[in-house]
Amino acid sequence: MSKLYESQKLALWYFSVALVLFGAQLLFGLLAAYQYLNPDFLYGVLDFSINRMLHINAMIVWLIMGFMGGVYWFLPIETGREVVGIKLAKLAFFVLVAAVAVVVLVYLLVQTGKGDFFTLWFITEGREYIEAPRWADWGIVAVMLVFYFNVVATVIKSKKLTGILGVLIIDLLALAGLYLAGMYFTPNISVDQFWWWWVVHLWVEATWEVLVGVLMAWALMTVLGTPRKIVEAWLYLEVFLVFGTGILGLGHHYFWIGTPEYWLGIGGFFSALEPIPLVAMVVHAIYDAGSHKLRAANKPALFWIMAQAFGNFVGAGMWGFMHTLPQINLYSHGTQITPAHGHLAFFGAYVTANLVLMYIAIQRVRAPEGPALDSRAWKLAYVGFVITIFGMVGALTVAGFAQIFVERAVGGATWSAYIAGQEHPWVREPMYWRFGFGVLFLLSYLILIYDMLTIGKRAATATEVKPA
Amino acid sequence: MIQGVEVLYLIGAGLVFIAGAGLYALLYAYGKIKGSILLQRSSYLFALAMLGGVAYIVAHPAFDTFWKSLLTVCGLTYLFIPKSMLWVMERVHLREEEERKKEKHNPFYTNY
Repeated sequence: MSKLYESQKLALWYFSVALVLFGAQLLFGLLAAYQYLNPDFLYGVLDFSINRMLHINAMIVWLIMGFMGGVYWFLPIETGREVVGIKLAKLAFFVLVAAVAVVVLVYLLVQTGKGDFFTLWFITEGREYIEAPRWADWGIVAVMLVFYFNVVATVIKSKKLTGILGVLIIDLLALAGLYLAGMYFTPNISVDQFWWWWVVHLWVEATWEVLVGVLMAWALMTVLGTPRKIVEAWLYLEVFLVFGTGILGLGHHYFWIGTPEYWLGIGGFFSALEPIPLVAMVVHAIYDAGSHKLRAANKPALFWIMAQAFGNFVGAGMWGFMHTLPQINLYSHGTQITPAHGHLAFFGAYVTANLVLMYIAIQRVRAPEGPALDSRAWKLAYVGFVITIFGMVGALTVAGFAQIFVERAVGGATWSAYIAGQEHPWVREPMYWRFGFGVLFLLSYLILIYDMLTIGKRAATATEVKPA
Repeated sequence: MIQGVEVLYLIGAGLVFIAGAGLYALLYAYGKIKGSILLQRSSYLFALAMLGGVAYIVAHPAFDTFWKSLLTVCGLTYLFIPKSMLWVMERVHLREEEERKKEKHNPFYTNY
């Protein structure tokens, strides 16, 4: 193994745990998907609500761990020195992993029961997507503070504040600060939801997008050798467009939660503009791919970079916009159109970005001097992931359309219309397709893991025997 | 209110609108880079599809003047994004070329 900074070794730990949690996400997702087909399956043992919660929570945690790994990977390269407080960073890693393990165990052991301040602190907060109990919330905040300290102190110590690092520091502050909004709750459900969306939307459609922009800037410099000035110019433009449209795009979550009517206009207006940076990214990706003729020493990383640009546009842009106008969203919100959009957007924007980071690290570890990182397995996993994610999303979209028509447009959104929608063949049958594609998605994941364990190993051995 | 199957048509129109914008951007940019007039002209078909999608939504009575104006401006904006973004990209990449000439490129670990 080539000499790595301690921070980069820590990044490898983050990537490893992230991949394990990715597997857990798929496993719980498959169980939940099967429970759509057979609702009695594991009823009372591992309920649908728990499977769904673990599926989503595992996804959030593994994506964040991957991003943190990415920052720990690139930070010493960017600043030219070891990360300040690396021992603290390692301690924070173990605290985070232990906290995640304990939280998951508690979720599995205590699946039902009363809700009071004890359960809020020690079992689950009970708020969708951010169910972690309050003690774990504060643990996450502490870990993020350590992470923030690592970044800022390293930058100060190195006396090297690049444009990318400047964006990273501001973005991490926003990311950590917004998480605090998720701990605030009131008995008024409208006010409660108002703040809750600050975490859920502003993380995903603002701070995460910018964080990925930072990581992709470093990735482009590494994989394609794009000069700093270019990626920084692009990053500033992206930050302007993403924050300019994404922050008030938050309004599309305020349509039906009891907030004032003006949110319909604000949310609709900015949501209609949200695909703009995504279309711009497509142009950027085409330009980069064309000017480099898809040549790079790290093939999987390059192709996942391309997938990130297009996936973000298709998942977030296309599947997001088509049901974002309030006149249409009145009929579509809460149907299977939402998970269709969620699956494709998270895969396109964030899973792909994490895989780019992981393959960059793999190349540095196994084949830093060449030959080019390439294999059949990554191509198989790549094609498998792309086909199966569209298979799942296509199935969910068909089910969503049927729900919108049967349950909302014709049935008038009554309880009996809901049941009629759930029992309609066009809602039920796509769930079989979704499950089937889900199984194949898991298979693609296994191929990906095999590839990550083996790719570049022969190349590294060859390099040791006969240096290039 | 939107009646019956109209809501599905409107969702479909929204999908055509943004998909058209993306495919127009993709083909136009690729055509420009490749120097292919055919690709560039093909891209205008998707621009037309995009405009068709937005026109269907704008024409629907469920949207009042505010929304009609917003969506019209939005459609026109997407019409100019590929050209303007490409203009920006070409200029920043001109600098890239100049910098590449100055430094020896190591394809395995770069720019640090």
